[in-house]
Amino acid sequence: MRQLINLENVQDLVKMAYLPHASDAFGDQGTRAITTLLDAVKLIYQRYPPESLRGTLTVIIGMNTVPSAPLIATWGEPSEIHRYDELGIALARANTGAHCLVELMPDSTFRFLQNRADIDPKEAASDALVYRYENGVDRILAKQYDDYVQKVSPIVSSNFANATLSTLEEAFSRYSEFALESKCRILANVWEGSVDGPRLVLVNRPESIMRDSLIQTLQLLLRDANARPEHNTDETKPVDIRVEWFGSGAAALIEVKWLGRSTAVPRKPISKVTYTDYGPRRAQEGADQLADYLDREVRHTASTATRGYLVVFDARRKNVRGATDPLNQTDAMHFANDVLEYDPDHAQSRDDFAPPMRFFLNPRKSHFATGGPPKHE
Amino acid sequence: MTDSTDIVPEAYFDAVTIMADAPVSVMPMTVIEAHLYAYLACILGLFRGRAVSDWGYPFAVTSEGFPYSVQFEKARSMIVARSLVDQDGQGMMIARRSELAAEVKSLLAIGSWTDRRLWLRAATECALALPVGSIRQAIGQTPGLAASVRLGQRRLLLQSDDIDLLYEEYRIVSSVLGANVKDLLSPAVIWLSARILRTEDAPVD
Repeated sequence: MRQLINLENVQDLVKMAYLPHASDAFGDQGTRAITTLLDAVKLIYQRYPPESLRGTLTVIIGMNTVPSAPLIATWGEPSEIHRYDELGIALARANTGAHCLVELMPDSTFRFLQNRADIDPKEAASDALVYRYENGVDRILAKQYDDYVQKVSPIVSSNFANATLSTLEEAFSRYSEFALESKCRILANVWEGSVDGPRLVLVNRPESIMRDSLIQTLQLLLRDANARPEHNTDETKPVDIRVEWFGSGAAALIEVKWLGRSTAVPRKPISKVTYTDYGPRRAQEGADQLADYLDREVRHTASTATRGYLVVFDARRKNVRGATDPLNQTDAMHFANDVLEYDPDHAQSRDDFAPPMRFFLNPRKSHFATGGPPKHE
Repeated sequence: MTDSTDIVPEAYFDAVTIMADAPVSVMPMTVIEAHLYAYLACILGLFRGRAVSDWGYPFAVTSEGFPYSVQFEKARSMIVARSLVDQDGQGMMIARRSELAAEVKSLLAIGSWTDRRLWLRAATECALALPVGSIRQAIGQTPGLAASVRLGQRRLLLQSDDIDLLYEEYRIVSSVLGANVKDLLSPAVIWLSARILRTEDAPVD
């Protein structure tokens, strides 16, 4: 079915629509200044990414400032900087907890200041467009407007940071950090009792949620590559994700497997909850299936360079029982640093099989049982 | 080598203007990103009442799932061959700003391209507000493209039923944004953002 954009989403976006607000606050000058401000913020983040900031960052374009009288001189004695790479170095050298201020001047130079005390961005916004980054949140202020920028995905530190990566391995590495605490809005649905519960037991058939989460992340992060669910109707179950790079003939097949305990829907209506449990054998099955798919891919497609990737979402907990039966930290984290062994190890024996990836999914620390080990039935 | 008689004037203008006017932070640009911005500009032109049939050249979706135009690609190759743009070994295109500015000036002197330039500029400026990957994701979920991507099929984009749905979405954005908003970038970014959110609401396939 063709689904339109959601009216409520549009209404929420318009409430925080910093682009028309900049125009509304400062007229044509604001319309021009907002693109200059965003361009500058992106260029700064290309030199020094937001996740590396050790304090806050405020970037300002004054509406009535001149190079001899920068606005940020109100809060200290700024230094003059001429290039973005110098600005990146200044941010890298900033002290932990420092509040860094950058002002873009009409002559294309910058003024830079780092202060111990924070400024009030709303005060600065009375006669300036202000970008503010603090604790992973982007804001853009213009006069009375104070707009919080909705992130396109929790995987990006800022909508204005360049998130594109060249290789699948880099994207997996970023995703593993992100999956660890189930930060993805899609992956959050994988837990019985919600992502805010103990995160001990997965929902029934969690693989499609994991697949969709990974696809969305790859679509966002990979440059010139398209990731999509695989719909190959070959004689057996297809692999889960196909990634293709434009114009190169390169492709990747990704098989998704999960380990741990999920709820199961019983064949007969019974009151007792039943579970599906998967251990390392499941990862081996995935590896063997993928090797088989790769063999068939060679026979059936014209793709010149197909590489297979097995990704394993690892939600194993030692002594796990139900979704709400607490575990102590030792049991809950027992498999956190486990290394899965494969025999046969296809990554060793063939060039088109990448080393398998494991994404461990953390339990909620705040739900660890305190006291002694749990009693078992 | 591309013969200049093969070049569609609109496609040539678009290739030059995208590279000339793109914000500094959006550069260098990949080939498929240039096609993406041209396609987005075509949609933005549609939103402002320019019929797709008057755009000058069509777009299709490749088997890999990217919007692509053969005519735009010929024009893009031409501007590389004419050294208006440098292309490195990884396929990244780097603008020669002064040469491109001179070319835009000469094209504006011989054709009526003012509106078209605004749409093209707004398309690349969307990448100031949103990561390019998310723009691709939003565009990949537009009608026509999404169905073809699912099936891994090549297909001509912006057919009549696709256009009806795009108009309907733009009507929603415009009605909420209000009549006072004159620029094109604001509705474009809100439309793309709403598409990204829609993608999260719905399963991938």
